Amino acid sequence: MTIEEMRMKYGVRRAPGISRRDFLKIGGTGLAGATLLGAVPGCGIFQKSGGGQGGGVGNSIALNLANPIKDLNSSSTTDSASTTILDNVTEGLYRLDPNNKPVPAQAESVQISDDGLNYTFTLRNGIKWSNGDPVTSHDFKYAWLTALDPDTANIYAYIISTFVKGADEFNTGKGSAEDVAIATPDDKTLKVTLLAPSPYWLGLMSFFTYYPQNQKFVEKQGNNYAQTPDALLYNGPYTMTSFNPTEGATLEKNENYWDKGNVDIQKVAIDIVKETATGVNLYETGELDNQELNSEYVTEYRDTPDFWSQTLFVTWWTVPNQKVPILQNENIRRALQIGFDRKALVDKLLNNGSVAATGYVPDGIAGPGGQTFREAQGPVLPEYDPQKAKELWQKGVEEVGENPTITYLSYDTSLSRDLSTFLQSEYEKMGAKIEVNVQPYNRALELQETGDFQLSQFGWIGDYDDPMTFLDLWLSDASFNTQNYKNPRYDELITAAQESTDLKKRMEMLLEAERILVEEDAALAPQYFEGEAWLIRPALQKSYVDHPYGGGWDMKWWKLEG
Amino acid sequence: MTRYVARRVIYMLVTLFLIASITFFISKMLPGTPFADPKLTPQVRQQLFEKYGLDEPLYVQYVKYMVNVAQGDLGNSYYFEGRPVSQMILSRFPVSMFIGVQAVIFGIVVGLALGIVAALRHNTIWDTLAVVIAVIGVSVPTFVLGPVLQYWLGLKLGLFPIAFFESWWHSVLPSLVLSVFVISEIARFTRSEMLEVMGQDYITLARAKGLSGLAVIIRHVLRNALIPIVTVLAPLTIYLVTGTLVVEQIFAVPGIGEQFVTSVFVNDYSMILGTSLFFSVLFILALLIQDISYGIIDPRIRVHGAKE
Repeated sequence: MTIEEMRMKYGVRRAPGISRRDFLKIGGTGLAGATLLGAVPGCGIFQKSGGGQGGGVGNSIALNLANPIKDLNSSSTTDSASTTILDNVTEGLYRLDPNNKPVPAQAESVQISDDGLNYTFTLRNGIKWSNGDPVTSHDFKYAWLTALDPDTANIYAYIISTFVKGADEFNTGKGSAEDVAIATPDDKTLKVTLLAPSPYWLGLMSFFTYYPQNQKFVEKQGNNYAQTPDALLYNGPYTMTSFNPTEGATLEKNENYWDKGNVDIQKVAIDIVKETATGVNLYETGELDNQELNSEYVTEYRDTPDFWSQTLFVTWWTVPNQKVPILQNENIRRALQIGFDRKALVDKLLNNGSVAATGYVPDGIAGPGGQTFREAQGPVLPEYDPQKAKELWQKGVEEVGENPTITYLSYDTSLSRDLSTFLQSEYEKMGAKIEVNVQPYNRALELQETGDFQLSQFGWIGDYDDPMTFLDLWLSDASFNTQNYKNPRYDELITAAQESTDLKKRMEMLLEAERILVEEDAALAPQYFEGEAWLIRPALQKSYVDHPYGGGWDMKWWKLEG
Repeated sequence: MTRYVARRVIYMLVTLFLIASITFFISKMLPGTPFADPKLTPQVRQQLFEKYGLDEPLYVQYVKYMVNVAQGDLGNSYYFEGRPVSQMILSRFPVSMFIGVQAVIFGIVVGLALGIVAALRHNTIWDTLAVVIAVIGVSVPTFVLGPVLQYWLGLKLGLFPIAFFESWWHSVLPSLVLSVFVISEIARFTRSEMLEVMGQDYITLARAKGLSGLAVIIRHVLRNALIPIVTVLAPLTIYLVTGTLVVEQIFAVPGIGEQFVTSVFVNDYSMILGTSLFFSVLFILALLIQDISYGIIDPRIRVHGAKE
């Protein structure tokens, strides 16, 4: 019998489990259907990101913030992404102009007493919040007291409590809010008393912790304050019309801003793209108008018209912990200062606009007269000298009697790793034995805080335009001084400078203090003054303002040329 | 069947309780605290600890946390001031799921095709080719493939958008990158399962009875080959759905994988715990569905209680 005949005789038997086959059919269709159905409500998941639109078109631009927006409450925030936005949608008493000098903003003028302690601000007429409420002196007092309140636990409370009388007592729980020397005799007048005269406190009025807040509005919003665009009030050049903490925001020109006539850019789309390569690609297609560069891209773009760089008020250095016997030896510390090639570090490793350190206080910070601090002081760091470094190290080892392995604490970013490895190999040439200890950022900060390190990578961002923001870290009782540096003469100079009313004498004391710190005591080994390199649309570059302290991007001054 | 499901649900709740407890204690052992700022002084740190209840004894924090979770409250993020964790997870999850499911479906279709071709044309050039493609797919890491595709297909040829997630077209490249791994896995499984099944007695019988080649494949071979695929599918789907960090970083896609890894780096306790719990629920659900599917697909795997 052929197969055909067998079939005819017995019939074709259906395979058992057809129900399973149907199941598979149904299952497959179901899955496909579900996906298609998912596509319909899935349309909801395709949102326009915070910005995403190309810039330079119709006076609108798209910027890359690169970091998520953590907290838009000016009296508790600390991160630079949030403060960048706040700096453009809110405004304080004074604002920094393109030359980083304070100019009147919400205040139209200030009277300073002869002893430099009493400030009387007069607010401008007609300034309003975005809900129509007028901006009053009470708004400033309320915000400042909230920032100082111990329950707010604001890291930046010190930016007020270091200067204003009574503020530190309130912040540490030893005094009351009433004793803080801020008075509001009427809606347009704000009186503040400082602890000591300060040439740079006025510039700090542009610092976000000093921005005003509308008490009625804030209390009404409760826990929802600053979570959505409607839960914030605006008195700055822009209002925020959309906001997502991880995707960005949209800013639009504020039609109620007192100086709106001078605001050129109508709309700013702010995106958050963390990956540099992606950001550069987006810049190339016109979807972003700025993008920060790392060292590989700097070489590629350095000679193009889109390249822009500046130095910041940031110094990076190696700090020796003087509880370690070998690091107590001055020759050893001097060897650390001159035993590595600063120029190679900056040119080859960083290649991002940073410059080799010539002292401790970075370039650009104000000094005596019209000079910067660095111009007045000159270099206080000896040049790179591997031969001398070797001699000094050997001398130090003889004096101490040992050459132990010293650990170098470093962060786990790729830059920090490369840098510490570089230092390790340089220092080994002079006879040192260095072991690199890489820790996650949080952990490294903890170790630094408790003084649990021998050598450490350390950096500091200046909070205001004065050398004191760097120099007061080394007071023997400063909370950041966990490296056991003690020099009574240094303490005397700094304390006297903090209380001095003679500005000229004060600067001289600060210059002397830095000489003691770096030249005499070799208390630290400065590495570089940090810079930044960006791609910025040529049409924007001429007016581009990125303040080295406090502010950051100050879009009020930006104009799109041509 | 219902008894089976009910019992599995109870097991699931017990497992989740254990997972929540273990991740709670592990996250407390992570070095560092949620507050990492070089300007932080010990005094302000103490204020922050008091504000968030981190200065209370560990067992008090544990009890408070478990009570909240039982009520569905995963707390607020430490990193993003005042944002509820559950809200952040739920807002980002659909994005990852979409890209992941798309990658899986595409991966299955292409993988099956590749695997079937390889098995049917066993020991020919097609077989070798398919295996080579599969091995390459598994070996090339996503952080290489992603930027390469982004650069060539996105920037140079302008076929696809470079980043963000504004339309379906934006999801193609991310899904493509993720699917490569799926294709390789499915292809290899399909191929080996088919080869094994094709050698079985009942296949020879079916052919003897006169069933055509294609019918044999579909009715017998493939169905049996599906079991290992279903096994792998559940963990694979979860893996992709939760969004690989790399793909989301490269294409600036607002998904949940990226959020999770960030939270680990910044010690955002509540986000770490919340996301871990969320992933656990998903995974356990997927396993449950998978077990039930087994029982239906293959009667040899008798799920206990299914007879009732």
